[in-house]
Amino acid sequence: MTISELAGGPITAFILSLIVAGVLYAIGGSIGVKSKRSPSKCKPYACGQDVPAERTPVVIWLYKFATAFLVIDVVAYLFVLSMGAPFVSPVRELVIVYSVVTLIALITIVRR
Amino acid sequence: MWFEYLVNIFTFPGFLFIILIAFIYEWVDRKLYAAFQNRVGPWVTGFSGFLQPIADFIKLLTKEDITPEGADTLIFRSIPVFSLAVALLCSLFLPISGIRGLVSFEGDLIVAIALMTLLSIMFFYAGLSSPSRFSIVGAERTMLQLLSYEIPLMLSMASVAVSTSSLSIMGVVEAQRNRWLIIGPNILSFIVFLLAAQAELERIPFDIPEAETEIVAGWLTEFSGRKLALLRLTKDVELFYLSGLSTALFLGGPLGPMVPGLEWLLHPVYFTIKSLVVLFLLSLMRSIFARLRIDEAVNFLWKYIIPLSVLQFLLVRVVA
Repeated sequence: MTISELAGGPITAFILSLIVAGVLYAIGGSIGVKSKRSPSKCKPYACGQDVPAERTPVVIWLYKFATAFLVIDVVAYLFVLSMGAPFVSPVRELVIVYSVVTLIALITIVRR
Repeated sequence: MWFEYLVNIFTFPGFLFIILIAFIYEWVDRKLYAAFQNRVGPWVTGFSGFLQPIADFIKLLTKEDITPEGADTLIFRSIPVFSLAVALLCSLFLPISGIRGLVSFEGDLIVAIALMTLLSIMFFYAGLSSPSRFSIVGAERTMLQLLSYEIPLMLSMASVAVSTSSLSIMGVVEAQRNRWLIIGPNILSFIVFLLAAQAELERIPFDIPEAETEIVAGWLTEFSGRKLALLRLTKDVELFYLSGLSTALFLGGPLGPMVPGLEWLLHPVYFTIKSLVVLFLLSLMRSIFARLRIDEAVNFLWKYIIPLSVLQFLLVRVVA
């Protein structure tokens, strides 16, 4: 890939937008008010109650299940609908990858 | 070539234009929402409150920036920058000044979906990195909602791709030269897309992750100062992006009756008018519903909207 091809590409665009966001962030840092840090200012918001600043762990089994469903259901559905389509070369690799992913998802669900 | 590209990407269809129009869209949205509720809305700064979002942004930028103790500092500080960058990158795909967006390649429809999902996952991490329990509840709700509206969103965009047999936004717009996609079986996918967009934007009736009467501000609770400013700008850019994307996919994008020689002006004007219509629909939806509970929202999306989107996909598949 040459330099002139990079001009319309998504990677250059992402780097430039990152620069814009970073410049806005830096402007905020330079014009923002700076005052002394006090312990009560750094507490998490809790309506004046004394709630400890800790990050509670999140229960993720539901997300595992839902992701597996996403993989199994939607992609299979799209595959069924593309049955009549001409069998071009990447489809075979896609089917193999899809079967492997489905197998992993099934194993995850069964082991839970 | 590089000079022209840089000028384009920083000024007209690029960042300056997107950020300014995102502020204008926030103003229009707030004005419409206020009008539906018989209020005045913002009216102090500028003509009829026109400059209020910009004033809010500058005020937030000058406020003190606090990182609470116990936060995951790296993620907490970098999420605003990265989410704004991703939202800006999304908006560069939109065909504003012509049929072709500023960044356009074969398959950018898939990248558009992926970037939207990435934005939601970033909000999840933003909540997860905060030490507050409100943020964590908000983050969990963001993720649950993402899992519910993702399938309808994907299927509605897939039916667009099927009926125009193209995977790029440019191809979809090009195929609508004679007939907009909303005329025909794709009207159902337009409805599904609007519902999913409302859930993606976390607005009423799907504003559960930020429900301020229950969990303060959801995953936004601990953000202040410039971080909050950037996150609010991200929300505005996302609003512009989603109304622009539905314009490009269903309403023919920047196409319309053309006067030769005036394409450079008419394309953006048509695009803006059409996306303002979509914004009107989104604001209307926001004002006529009340907030759902999280279980109600997940139930509604999984039990009614996903079958509806499957149905519309089948319909498009049979007709096309």
